[in-house]
Amino acid sequence: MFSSLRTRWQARWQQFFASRSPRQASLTLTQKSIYILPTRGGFVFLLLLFVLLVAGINYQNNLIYGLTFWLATVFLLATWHTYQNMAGLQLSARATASVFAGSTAQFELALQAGENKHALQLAVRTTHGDSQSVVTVGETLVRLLWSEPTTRRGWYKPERLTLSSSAPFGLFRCWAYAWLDARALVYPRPIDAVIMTDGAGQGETRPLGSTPTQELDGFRPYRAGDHRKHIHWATLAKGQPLQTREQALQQENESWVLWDHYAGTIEQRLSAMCHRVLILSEQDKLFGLQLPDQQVTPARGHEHRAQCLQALALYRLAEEAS
Amino acid sequence: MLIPRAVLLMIFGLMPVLLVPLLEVVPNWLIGVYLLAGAWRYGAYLGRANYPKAWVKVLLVVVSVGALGWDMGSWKGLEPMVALLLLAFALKVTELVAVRDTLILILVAYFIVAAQFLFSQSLFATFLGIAEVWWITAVLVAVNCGTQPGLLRRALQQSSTVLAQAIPLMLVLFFIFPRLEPFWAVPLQSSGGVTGVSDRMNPGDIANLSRSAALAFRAEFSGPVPPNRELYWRALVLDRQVGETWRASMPEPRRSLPDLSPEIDVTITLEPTGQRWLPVLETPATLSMQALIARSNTAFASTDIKSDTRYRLLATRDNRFDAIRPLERSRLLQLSSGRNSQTRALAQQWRSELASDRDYIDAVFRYFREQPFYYTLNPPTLGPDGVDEFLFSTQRGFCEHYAGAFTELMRAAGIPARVVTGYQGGELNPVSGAVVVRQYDAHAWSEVWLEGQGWVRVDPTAAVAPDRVEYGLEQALAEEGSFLENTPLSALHFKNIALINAMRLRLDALSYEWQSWVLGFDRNTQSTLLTRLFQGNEPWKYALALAGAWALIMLPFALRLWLSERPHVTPQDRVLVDFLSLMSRHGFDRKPGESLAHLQGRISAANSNKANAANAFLNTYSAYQYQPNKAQYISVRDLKRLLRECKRSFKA
Repeated sequence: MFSSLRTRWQARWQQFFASRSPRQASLTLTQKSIYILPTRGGFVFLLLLFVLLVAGINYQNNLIYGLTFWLATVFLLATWHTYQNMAGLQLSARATASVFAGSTAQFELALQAGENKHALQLAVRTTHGDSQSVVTVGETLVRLLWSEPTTRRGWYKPERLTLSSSAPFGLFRCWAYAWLDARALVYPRPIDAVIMTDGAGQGETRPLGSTPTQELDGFRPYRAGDHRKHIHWATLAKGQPLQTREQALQQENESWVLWDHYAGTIEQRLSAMCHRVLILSEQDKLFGLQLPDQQVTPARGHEHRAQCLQALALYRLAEEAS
Repeated sequence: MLIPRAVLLMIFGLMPVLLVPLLEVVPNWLIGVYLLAGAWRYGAYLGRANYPKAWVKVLLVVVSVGALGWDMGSWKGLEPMVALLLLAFALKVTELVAVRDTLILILVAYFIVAAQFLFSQSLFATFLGIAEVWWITAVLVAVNCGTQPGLLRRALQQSSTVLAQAIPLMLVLFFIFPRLEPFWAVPLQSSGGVTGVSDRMNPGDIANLSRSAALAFRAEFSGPVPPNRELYWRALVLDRQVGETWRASMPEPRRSLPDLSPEIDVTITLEPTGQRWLPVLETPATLSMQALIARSNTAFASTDIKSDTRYRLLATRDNRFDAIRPLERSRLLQLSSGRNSQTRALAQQWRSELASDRDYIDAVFRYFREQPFYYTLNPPTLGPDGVDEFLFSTQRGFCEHYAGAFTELMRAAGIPARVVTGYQGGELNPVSGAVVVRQYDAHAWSEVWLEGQGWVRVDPTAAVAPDRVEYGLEQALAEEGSFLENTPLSALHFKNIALINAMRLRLDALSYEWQSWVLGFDRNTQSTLLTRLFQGNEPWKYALALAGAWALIMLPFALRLWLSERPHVTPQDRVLVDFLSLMSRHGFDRKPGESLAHLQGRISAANSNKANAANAFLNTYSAYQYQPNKAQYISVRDLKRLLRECKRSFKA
């Protein structure tokens, strides 16, 4: 019963913290987002103050009274100095790359303190428990990488980060929660699956009217994605812009990754198609992708692969696609 | 995290500063422990030694705590606790590995500073304490700020900042916090410091004391300061002779004397002596602290004087209440048997030849004056019949020789007499107005009981060295040159150099002021001060003062917080705000998130004839905002001019 009470209590607090700091692309820490409580050392210090006060009273010693009140005021002022250490810190984050579901998404956190300011001994902790620490954040940008596991395709937004520091006195600990508005694209998990439908084997070829305009015989200007085998290197040697041999393009068959060829749930189909896209682009084939509501025209190369994978990742996730 | 080198060096620096001021109350071998601990930790830092293993640590603790218990004799009292604290600090240093180990070390260090205050509250101790707190706080900062270049400087800076910021509230708390009664009695154990005169007097004791220039006490008279020859500060009355030694008997409390009219009013600040006697003058009437006033006109505190003590004494020269009981009389005539037969025979012979006790005393004085007696700090050692030897052969001695011989002569002649020890004279500091009495002012004299007159003070030293009583020891020993001969650099040697003497007196006055203020600020002083300050002593006024002080201290912080939170608006931005409100009045509201360029496009599209002025304004503003190389040529005045043109063209 207590544990359930505790989880409810924690959830309450999380809600409170979340309501105070909405997801933002970049965040500057102010008194709205910084929380502060004494550390264990701070409580021990309070105990010291109490014992000193008793000593001052018992020995009727004015200098010990003075020492006690001096240290007590230092303790109070430590709240301000600890807060001031973190206030004004600017955070922003971005994803470093797109990943496949099930692997970890990596984000980069950029930290910067204001003019003539330094944040000291900063610890950055993720909800998964890994923690990193930075000795000094000054006017120059400090970058930290952290990663979080993903489970499903779509846009993945990072979980809460906790930044904390107890510098400069160690008597208080300031912390702030940051929900940063970075997002990583998560592709479906690639799964090797058998094509269920009748007819053509893997990578059915079919000429399509909508394929790029074909100019017989000759060359056309180089377009990104053209395979290096088809590039007419001689023109480059002459110092002219790159040309691609159209004939070579013509001779190649197009492969298609078709929705109808796969069976199972949406996710299973997408996973299988994802696997297929990876294989085709590995083999450097010319291929297109067809989904019930969209299709990607055949091409090859990195950009094309990314385009296909993004289409798979965001399929029927319209609300997240924006 | 491992401890950075700078922090380690700061801790090494702290070690002697904590230990040395307390060496008077803790065993000296702690120096060795500190050196060893420091060397061990430094060796570990260099990688030449290992951190002590668990069993080594246990062994170290057991051995050193055992040695401490054996050395100090008892665990009761404060000194063993202070020694334990110091020991704990040293042992902790050896096993200091990670940063988190340092917190306990730092707290112990703060505690040791408080312990130093228990034993001395002088100006010097205060300054030393402040410096120590500054340093310890810097260590606290350094361990919490990680490794970085310039750590030491930064830590010291941060420490001074926060300590300076803390002073105002500390002062308010200091003055307002109610001074409570002690929760339980806390005796300090045997003490350090110079013990001053003791309850027994052997020939040579006071001469030894007189080699020290340490402060014994300071006395501040309300009213005129009596001349030196009247300042006989009584500490102890020695009325039993055991062998050659004069001893004090147990003090007997005096009946209260209601009719005294004290004419002497003096406040005395006594340095710790480790004993109970309190110096008094003449016949003490009342003391402001809890004390026993004895029939012998001496006073004793209820516990040993372990720390600086301050009290006010009212006293009278009226001795008509003196009395001796018949039984007491025989004790006051007692002499240890079988000694000094020559002296005793002489005494009886003289007394029988003379008519009165008074005449006999005069005869003895005459003897001291006419024989070649010599007043010296370096008297020859005397044998078992010391008084005979002194009176008839060596004739060289210090005040205790004269007082002892005189008292023996009196008793041998049947006159009740006793030795009084204490201090004589003192130096009036013209700056503070206080009489400074040092250990070299220690003195011994005699008192004789004369029927009808009571106890009469007789100082045989005055017969031999009148300067001693009139001008102090330095003058009396001028010829011999033995005044403070062991400390040739003492400032007291340079009294005749005006500047040094003036500085010495000023410093002494300052430290006296400080000490009397710190020691004197008790519950009474506090309530007087606060009642005068607040025109009453209602609690809400204190609360208000505390809240006011807190607000005053927090004001600069609040201001800084407010300033940092406020968006930074340049004058140019303010002109833009005016421009935008002008546009919205004419139907061009800037939509949320709309860029200025987009707004400009809308204005141009809808209002082609009036758009020129708006375009000019927006172009200039954009140049200011986004083109740094042009921005420096664009002043607020330009923007304001363009805004005026906009107003004109939109009016048209």
